[in-house]
Amino acid sequence: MTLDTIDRGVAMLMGVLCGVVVVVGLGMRGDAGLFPAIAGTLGLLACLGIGLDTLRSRPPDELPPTLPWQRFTVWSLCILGLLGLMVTVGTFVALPLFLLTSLRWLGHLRWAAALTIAITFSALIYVVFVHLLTVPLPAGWLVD
Amino acid sequence: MDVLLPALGNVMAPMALLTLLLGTLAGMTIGALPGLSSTMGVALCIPITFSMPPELALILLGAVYVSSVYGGSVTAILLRTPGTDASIATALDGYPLAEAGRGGEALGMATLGSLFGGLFSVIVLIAIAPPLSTVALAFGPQEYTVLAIFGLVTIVGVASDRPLKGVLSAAVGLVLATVGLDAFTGVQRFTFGQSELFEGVPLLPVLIGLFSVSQAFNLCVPAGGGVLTSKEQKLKGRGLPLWHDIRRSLRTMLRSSVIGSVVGILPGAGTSIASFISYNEARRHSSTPERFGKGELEGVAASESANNAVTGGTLIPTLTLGIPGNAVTAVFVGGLTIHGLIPGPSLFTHHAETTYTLILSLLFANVLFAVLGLWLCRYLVVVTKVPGAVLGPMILVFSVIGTYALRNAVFDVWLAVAFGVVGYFMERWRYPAAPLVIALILGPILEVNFRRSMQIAHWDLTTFFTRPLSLTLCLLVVLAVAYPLWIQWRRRKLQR
Amino acid sequence: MKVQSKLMRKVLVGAVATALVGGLSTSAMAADYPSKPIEMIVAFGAGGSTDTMARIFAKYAEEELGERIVVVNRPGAGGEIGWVHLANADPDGYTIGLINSPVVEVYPFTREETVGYSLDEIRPLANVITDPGVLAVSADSPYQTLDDLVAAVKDDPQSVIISHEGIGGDDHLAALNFAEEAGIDLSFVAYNGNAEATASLLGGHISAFEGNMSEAAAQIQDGKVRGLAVWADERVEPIAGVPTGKEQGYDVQAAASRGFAVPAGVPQEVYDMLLAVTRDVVENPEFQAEMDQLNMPINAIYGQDYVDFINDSHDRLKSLWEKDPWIEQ
Repeated sequence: MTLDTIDRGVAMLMGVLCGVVVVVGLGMRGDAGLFPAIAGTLGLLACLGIGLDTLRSRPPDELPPTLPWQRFTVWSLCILGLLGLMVTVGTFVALPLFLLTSLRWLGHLRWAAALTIAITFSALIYVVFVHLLTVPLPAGWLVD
Repeated sequence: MDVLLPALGNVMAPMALLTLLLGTLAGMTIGALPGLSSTMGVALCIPITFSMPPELALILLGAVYVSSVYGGSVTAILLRTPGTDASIATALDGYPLAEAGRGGEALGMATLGSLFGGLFSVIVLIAIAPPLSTVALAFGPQEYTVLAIFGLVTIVGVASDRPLKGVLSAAVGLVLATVGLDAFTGVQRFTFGQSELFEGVPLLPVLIGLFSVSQAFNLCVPAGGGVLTSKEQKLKGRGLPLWHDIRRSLRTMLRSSVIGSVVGILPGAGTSIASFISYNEARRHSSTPERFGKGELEGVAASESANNAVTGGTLIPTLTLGIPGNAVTAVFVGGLTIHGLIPGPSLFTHHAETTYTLILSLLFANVLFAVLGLWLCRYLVVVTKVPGAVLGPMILVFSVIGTYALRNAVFDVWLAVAFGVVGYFMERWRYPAAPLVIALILGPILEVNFRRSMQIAHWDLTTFFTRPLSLTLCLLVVLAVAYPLWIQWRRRKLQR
Repeated sequence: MKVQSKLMRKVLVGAVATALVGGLSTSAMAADYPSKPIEMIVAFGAGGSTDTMARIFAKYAEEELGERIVVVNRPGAGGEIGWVHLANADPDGYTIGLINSPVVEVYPFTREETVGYSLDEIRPLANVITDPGVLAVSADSPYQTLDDLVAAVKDDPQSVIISHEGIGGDDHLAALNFAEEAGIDLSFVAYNGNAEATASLLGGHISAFEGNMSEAAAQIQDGKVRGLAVWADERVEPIAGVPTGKEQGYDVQAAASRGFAVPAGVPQEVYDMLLAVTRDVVENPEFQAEMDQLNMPINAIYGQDYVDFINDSHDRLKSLWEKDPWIEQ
C-alpha cells in the first residue's frame, strides 16, 4: 500500500466519524452540541482536503517504511500480557515477566542479562512508586 | 528590599541548602520520568512539608516545581518521551539532534535555555510582580478565546510540513476535548456511560500514549532499532553547545523568556501555548527556517526558555492575587495555606521574608539544576546508545506505571496503550501527533471561554472585535495565518 | 466492569471465608482492629481543599489509631469516581473516605441513569467541616446589598452575570436557591474553580460570584472583593463583616459540607471505634487551630445525626429536583 492509498482510507474513515460527531452534536440539548459540531466540521473539511490531495497527480508516491509484522505482534502480545497480568495476578509478578520476555525475545539478550535487568528494574519501580510515592499499584492475588 | 537579606540568610542556611539540593534532584527525576508531571511532584511533596518549618517547605516546593519543568527536557530530547505538554516542542528539534548523536549539545542548549528563561522570570517576579499582575485581570473570556485560537493556528503550522494532516489531527483533538459532562448544560457528551470519562478524556494518558508508548513501539518493533539512526554513528564528544551556537540563540532565548513570562501570568493559559508560540517565533525570525524540526539547536533553546519562564510567570498572579495560574500553582496554594500563608497581597507585606525566601530559592534552584544538568548531560547521553529493544520495554513500564499513578485508574492505562498504537501508526503515515495533544489542551479553554463570552455578551459575536486587547489578538491570528501563505506565494514567484 | 468483577470476587472470597471460619470472624476482626494501614479515599485531586483537610485529619488520626493512614486520591466525575470506590470497598474498616454534601446525595437522582453508587452503600460517619456559600462582588461594584443586586436584575435581567463552579454543584444550587427566594432569574457563567472566577470578577468581566467561604475569605479580608451575603444562619467568624442572607430578608441556607463515611456493612464495633477516633481528632484544639487557619469552619455532626443530615438533605433536594430540575433533561 502506498501512502496515498492509506491517506484515502484514513480520510474516508475519519470523515465518516467526523460526520457522526456533527450529527450527534447537532442533536444535543442547548448549546452543548455547538463545539462538537464545529470540531467535526473542521475534521470533515480536513478529510475532504486530504482525499482530494491524493487524487492530484503528484510525482513520487511514497511507500511507508515496511512493518516487521512478526516483531510487532510479539511486542503487542507482551504488552497485552503485562496489562492482563497486572490487574489479575499483580504488578510485581507481571513486571519482571514482561521485561524478561521482551528483553529475551525482542532484544535477544542472554538469559542472565535479561533476568538481571528484569529483576533490578522491577525492584527500582517498587522502591520508587510503592515506597517513596505510596502509589497503590494493583497487587492482585499476592495480597488478597 | 531590606527583606532580601534575611531571606538570603534563610536560603543559605545549611538545612535550606540541603533541602534545595534534594528538591532539585527529586524535581529533575520526576520531570524526566514519563507520567510523573510537575503537578504530581509538587502534590507528592506536600505531605512531606507538613512537618517542616514554612521556609523549608516553600524551598522544597519551589525547587521541585522549577526543576521538574527542566527535567522534562532530558527525556524529551534523548528519547522523545516528553513527560508533560511543556516539553513537546523541545522534542521537535531535540530528538533529531539525539538521533544524529548530538544529544549532549541539545541537552546543554536546553539547560542553558531553561536557566535563562527561569532566571529571567524570577527577576521579573522580584522586580515588577504587583503591576504585572493586572495583566492577568485584563484578560477576560473574550481574550482567552482568541488566545486559544492563536495557539491552535500556531501549532498546526509548526508541527507538520503537510498542514492538512495537522488540521485533521487538531480536529480529532478538539472532538476528544468535548468528551465529558458539559459544565454549562450538564449534558453527557460522547461518554458512552463511562464515568471515567465524565471529566473528559484525561490529558496525560493521551500524551504519554501518543509520545512515550508509541516511542516504545518505535524502538522495539524494528529489529536492531535504537535512538541513533545508524550504527556507525558515534556520540559527538561535546557535552556542550559551541559558544557560536549559544550566542546565536541569545536573542531567541530573550524573546521566548518574555513570551513565557507573559503567558505564565495568564491563569489557565497553559505552558504549551508559550513554548509553541516561542518556537514558531524563533523559526519565523531565523535565517534558516527550513532547519527547524530537523535538529536546530535554536528550536530547543526557544521551547525550553519559554517553558521555564512560565514557572516564574505563573507565580505572579498566584502570589500577588491569590489566583493560581495552573494546576501546579493551585497545588502550591494548598501548600502555602497549610503553613498559614494565604496567597494575596499580604504575602508581600506581612510575610515578605518568607515570600522572598521562596523567590530566592527559585533563583537558586534554577542555578543548581543548570549546574547539575551541564555536568550530567555527557553521562545521560549514553542512554541513546542503548539498543532500542532494551530501552523500549523500560519506557513502556514507566509509561504504564506512571499513567496508573496519575489517578490510580486502570482505565487510564488502557487509554495510554490504545493511544500508543494510534500514535505509532500516525507517525508511520506522517500525521503529526502534537496538534492532537495541544488541541486537547486548548479545546476546553477555547470552548469554555467562547461560551462564557457569549453568555456575557448575550450572543453578540462583535464582542471579540470591540475590546482593544481582544482585537489585537485577532490581528495576531490573522497575521499567523497570512504570513506563511505570503512567504510561500513570494517564494513561488521568485522561483518563476 | 472492573467494579463488577471485584464485587464477584468479593462475594466469592466472602462466601469461602464464612464457610471456613464460621461465625467468629467479625468480632475477632474488630478486636485487633486496626492491624494494617487504612486507606482513606479522597474523591478530589491532591492539593485541593478536600484533600488538604483529609491529609491534616489523617495526621492526627494516625496518632489516635496507632496505624498508618494512606490518603488515596481518586478524582473524577465531580467526586463520583471516588465514591464508587468507597461504596464498593470491602466493609472491613480498612477503607474509609470523605464525602462532600450536597453533591454526594444529589448524584443518585441527577445522574440516575449512569450513577455508579447508591446512598445505601455508604454509611456516613461524621461531618467535620461546613463551608457556607458566599455571594460576592468586586470592591468597586455598584451593588452594596442583595437588594441592590435584585433591583438591578429586575431592571435588566441581562445586566447581572453570576459565576458558579459547574452546573449542579453546591454553588449553582445555592445561587438557584437565592434566585427562587428573590423571585428573579439569574444569568450564569460556569467556571472551573475559584481561581479563574476570582480573576474574572476582579477584572470586571462578570458581576458577581458564588463560591465557598473558605476560598473567598482571603480576598474579602484583603478588601478586593466585597461579600454581599453569606448563606448561613448567622455570620461566620473569618468574614464577620458580611451579613447573612437571612438578615437581608432572603432566607437561603447553602453550604458545602465535608465529612467521613465508610462502606455500608462495616462491623458496628469498628464503626464505633472510627467514630470515637474522629471525635477525638475533631475536638483536638491543635486540629481546630489548623482548620481555623484554613478558614474551614468546623461543624461536628456524629454518627446517626450525620446519617440523618445526609438523608434529610437528600429528600429536600430530591423534591426540589422533581419540582424543577436544575439540569434540563
